[in-house]
Amino acid sequence: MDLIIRNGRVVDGSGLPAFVGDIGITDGRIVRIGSITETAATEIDAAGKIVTPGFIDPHTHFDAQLLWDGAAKPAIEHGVTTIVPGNCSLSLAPLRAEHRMKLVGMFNQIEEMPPKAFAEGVEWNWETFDEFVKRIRKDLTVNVAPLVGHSVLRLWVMGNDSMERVATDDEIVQMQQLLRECLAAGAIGMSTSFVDMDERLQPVPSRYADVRELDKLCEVLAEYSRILQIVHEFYDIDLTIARIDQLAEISLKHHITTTLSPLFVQADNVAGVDRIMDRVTEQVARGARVWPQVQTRPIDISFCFAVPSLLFIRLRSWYAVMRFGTTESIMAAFNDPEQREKLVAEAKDMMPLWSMLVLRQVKTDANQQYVGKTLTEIAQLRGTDPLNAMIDLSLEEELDAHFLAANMGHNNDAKVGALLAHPNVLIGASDGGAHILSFSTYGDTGYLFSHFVRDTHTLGLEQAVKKITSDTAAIWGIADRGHLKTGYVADITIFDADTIDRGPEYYVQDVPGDGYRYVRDAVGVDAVIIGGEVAYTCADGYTGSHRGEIVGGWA
Amino acid sequence: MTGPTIKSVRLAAAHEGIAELVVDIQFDNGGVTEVALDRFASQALMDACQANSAEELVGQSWELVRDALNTSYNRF
Repeated sequence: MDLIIRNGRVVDGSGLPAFVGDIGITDGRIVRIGSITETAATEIDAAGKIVTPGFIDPHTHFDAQLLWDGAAKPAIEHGVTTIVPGNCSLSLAPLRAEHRMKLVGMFNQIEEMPPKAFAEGVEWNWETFDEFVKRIRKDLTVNVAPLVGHSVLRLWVMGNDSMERVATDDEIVQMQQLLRECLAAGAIGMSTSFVDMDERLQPVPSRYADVRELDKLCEVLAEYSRILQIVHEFYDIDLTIARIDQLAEISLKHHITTTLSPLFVQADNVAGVDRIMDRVTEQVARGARVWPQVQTRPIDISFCFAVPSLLFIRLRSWYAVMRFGTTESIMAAFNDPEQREKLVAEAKDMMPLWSMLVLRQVKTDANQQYVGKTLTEIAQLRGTDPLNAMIDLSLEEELDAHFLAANMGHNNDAKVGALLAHPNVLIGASDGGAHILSFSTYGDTGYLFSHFVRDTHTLGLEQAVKKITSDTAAIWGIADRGHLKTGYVADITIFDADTIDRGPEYYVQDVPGDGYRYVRDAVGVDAVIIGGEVAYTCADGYTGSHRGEIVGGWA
Repeated sequence: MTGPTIKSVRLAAAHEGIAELVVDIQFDNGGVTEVALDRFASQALMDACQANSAEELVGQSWELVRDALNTSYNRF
């Protein structure tokens, strides 16, 4: 055998209770589970640890990053062995040379991937989906199940008209043929969006499609038994329900799986999500395959005083200062003792919020020591109160001090937990690799185990593992992964059930073109095996293994 | 004032990590629906109502909400 993982508590992805055993691997596949007397070239002692199938992240935007980082860091560190890029109607292929900058603009607008990263990190040596897959395949550490984006299909066939009108019959036929080529080259399905905007803040091309066009493209998905992903109007309960009905009709007509993401629990309308799930349950009972995706992490609000934020819309004095304020006038207000006293007095009513704010980013060296601390902690260090600490820091940074209000949305533990445990919910929607300048999209799996398994006991360990491994593989049609079974590909995550978590968020300069992004390190993940080789250990980091594959759906 | 009016306002966290204003609009028949406004629409609504804080929006006509959304949309 090439690799044996010994004495771990095996949670095999089926949802059945954990058991202690060894796992033997040869040629990238699991060949035995139980008690293994043989020895192997590489052995891992997993005593006291949990051994599970590698996690599958079904909603990511690692498309660009895969061109310079085949490990999609830091996804693997968090136990993720398979990612699905190409969501929300956007993929990097098929893409004609003349449309490259258009797509760079869309990626910048929607995913905050800086154009400079494309300029310095990307050699544009593909046009077709097949060429793109071949381009990224050779350097993959993580497995990739790529979606093809509806917007880029339109752009290829219709050019600039894709952003102006519905398609003709002939153009739809061309899109159908193009989609066939993408699916044959390894696309696991197609994504579309009813929400996203491009770099001109105009609807992305997929939003100009009529019902007939989507239906014809789903006809092709049916030929290959592949999935349809959509971004629905997630901010509106009724429109979401209408999309669920639309997806159900598509699913029933074409016998395909559909998924919509993201589904959030609205802060003051928690009952709204019950209406949505009632409709999902009704449609599932009819035989439709409609899977809403729910993210584990709460939503944080970020702000700095240089950019107006609605956080202050309930405070008369603050709103008056911020509404028409320039940097100079806002700083003048903060510096004026009388105005400052008024601002502080008014904001004290919201003191619990200010004390919980975390300083995320500053530009001066002197204040770097406070980054990552709460305003309560900073105030103690500075001998002041949280509110004055926030104002002082903002002045010292010329308003370029960035703060984070954690857990402001999708934060009702009971409701989010019930959703995550719901049999008709797919855990996902991490958005990994996107919004890189706004927040970290990594570590949702660690948060699932630390918060919803360990803290709130909403899900059992085996149930949580099943939801992000075998369930995901089955829903997406990913063959031979998601279970620890003999004959299955050895994608395996080993972690400590008592400590697994997501680490704190921090800002790092590791994007090509001297770009920055927010990331989180993993906590409690000991080792990650992909394709039978150790890809990452917490002790030694990435091993340089490149056993990741393009994981297309089963036909 | 007749017709649907703003019943209540609250802050919400949008998907992208920014704050949005959510207003509940109550109809004459008792029905309530919620509308999310981005920063631009919120400011347009505050201006139209000459409001100094979000709470002052309560009781205002839905038509002002509609116009504020149009103002935000038409800024491009």
